[in-house]
Amino acid sequence: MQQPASFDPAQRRAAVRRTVGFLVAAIVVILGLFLLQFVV
Amino acid sequence: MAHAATQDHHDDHHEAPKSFFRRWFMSTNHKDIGTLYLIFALLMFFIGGSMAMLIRAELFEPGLQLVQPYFFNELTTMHALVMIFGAIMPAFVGLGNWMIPLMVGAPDMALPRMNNMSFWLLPFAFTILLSSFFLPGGAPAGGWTMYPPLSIQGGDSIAFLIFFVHVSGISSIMGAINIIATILNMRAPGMDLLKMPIFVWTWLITAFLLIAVMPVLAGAVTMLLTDKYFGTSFFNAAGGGDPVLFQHVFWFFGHPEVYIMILPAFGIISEIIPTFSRKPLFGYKAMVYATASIAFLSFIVWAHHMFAVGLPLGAELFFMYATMLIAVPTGVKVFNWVTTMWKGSLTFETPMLFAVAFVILFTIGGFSGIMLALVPADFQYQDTYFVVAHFHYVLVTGAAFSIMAAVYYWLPKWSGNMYSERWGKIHFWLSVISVNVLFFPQHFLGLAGMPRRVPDYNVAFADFNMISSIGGFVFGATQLIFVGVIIHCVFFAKKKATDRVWEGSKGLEWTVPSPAPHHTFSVPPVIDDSQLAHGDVGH
Repeated sequence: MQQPASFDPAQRRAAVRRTVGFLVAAIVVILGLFLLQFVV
Repeated sequence: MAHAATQDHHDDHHEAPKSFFRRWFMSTNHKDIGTLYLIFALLMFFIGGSMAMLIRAELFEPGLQLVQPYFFNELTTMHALVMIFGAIMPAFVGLGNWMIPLMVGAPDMALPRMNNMSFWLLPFAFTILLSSFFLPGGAPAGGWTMYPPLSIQGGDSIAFLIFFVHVSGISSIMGAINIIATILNMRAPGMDLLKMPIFVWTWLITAFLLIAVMPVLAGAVTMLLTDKYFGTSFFNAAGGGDPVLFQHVFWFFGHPEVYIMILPAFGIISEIIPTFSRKPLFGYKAMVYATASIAFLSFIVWAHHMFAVGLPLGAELFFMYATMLIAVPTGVKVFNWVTTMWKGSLTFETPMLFAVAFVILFTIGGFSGIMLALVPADFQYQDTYFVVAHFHYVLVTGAAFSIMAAVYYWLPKWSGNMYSERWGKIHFWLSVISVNVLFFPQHFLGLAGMPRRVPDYNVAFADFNMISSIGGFVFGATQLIFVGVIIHCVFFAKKKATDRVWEGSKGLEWTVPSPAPHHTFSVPPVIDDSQLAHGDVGH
């Protein structure tokens, strides 16, 4: 990750999507742990 | 969605929209959204500040003078919520919005439309929160920490507070996602991670903290909501729950939150001190690693807020030592700031004055933090004015001073005009003197045993309270000068700013004209290592 994504628009869009996807997944996992509190 | 991530912009987008509504309500421009955040934060600073003035007026002398005790509790609770979530955090997001794309050579944030939504959730969130003053039973009064059972024994204002936390939390999370996506994907070619300005680094790490802990806060307050309205007993001992569980979950959010409010401040100070010392930052990589270390440690110290609840001895020892460990990377930072200044060609323009004051006064807040980290001593200090003095040194002379420093530092770049150095210095000196008159005596009050969150107190505490209140009134009034300086600079100042603004400034943000055009770096800049803020740190 030393160098940023290529300046090619399509590659950059894909890289942004990957980053956002990863972060949203992390948030869903944290919220999911709380959700477990309500069902167990 | 990632329109600005591309270079396929249209030529008709070079200027700001003419229509006021389109420009400010529908903006996807990082500079305009940054401005909106900063204006919002300033407004909240004054709303939260007016509550502080009322608190200090009530505490001016013993006895009940101005407000009812319950309303006093509402004031302390709302003052904290407004200042933390409305003033400090949005101010840093505003600065990040303005400066991160400029510093890394990006045309805009990675997700400009989401950026708009992140901001516009905030006015709604705070309308919900502040409207609770008009509810039967008044605003939340159980402290910003919302500890049950107290917080859910009041009226329905807690539901408003929880909804506020959810909405502003969504705003923060979206802002953090945007900042991470921008920094990781939108840097200009050649802008390696270890060439980024420290402010960008500190915001990157702060954004990860936000992602990790805002959902935890959302979860905790949702459990509180279901305890009050839906018959659960997560925190209700009578139903098999445990109120201390809330404190654990809350402070798992709450302690990293402290660093969310101070790491960007460290970044700002690390930009300003090299500029006015005319030297590269001493120990750039050490600064990055220290920031990351502080962020990591912030996750394993939460129970130092709860030493007096009856933790096992082993837990108290662990959290005491882990907390004291934070002094190491923080010490690295203070050492590096001082060493950057050492033998530099120092000048003391207003941003530098605030930065130097930050280093000294934040360190005082840090030292009282070490005192509070000591378990046996904490039993004496906890819930006293000593704690109030500690966190106000960290948050006012720390976070708020860094924001003021940043505004003076970057205002010429934003507005294209130079602010009045004379009035900037008057603002600084009145602030730095009055803030110490305000908060330093609170250490003595705390050590003498005056509890927090009380509208009345023993006459033994009268003198220091009166001194503190006088300092508070002067500090509050002084901030009107700040607003005056900003308005004068933006609308009336005659002296134009150069592109570089400061003699010692380095970095991409100073290569664009002043004021910064509506769109910058539509064509990626060529990175010249010698012009980077921290030079060629690889060698």
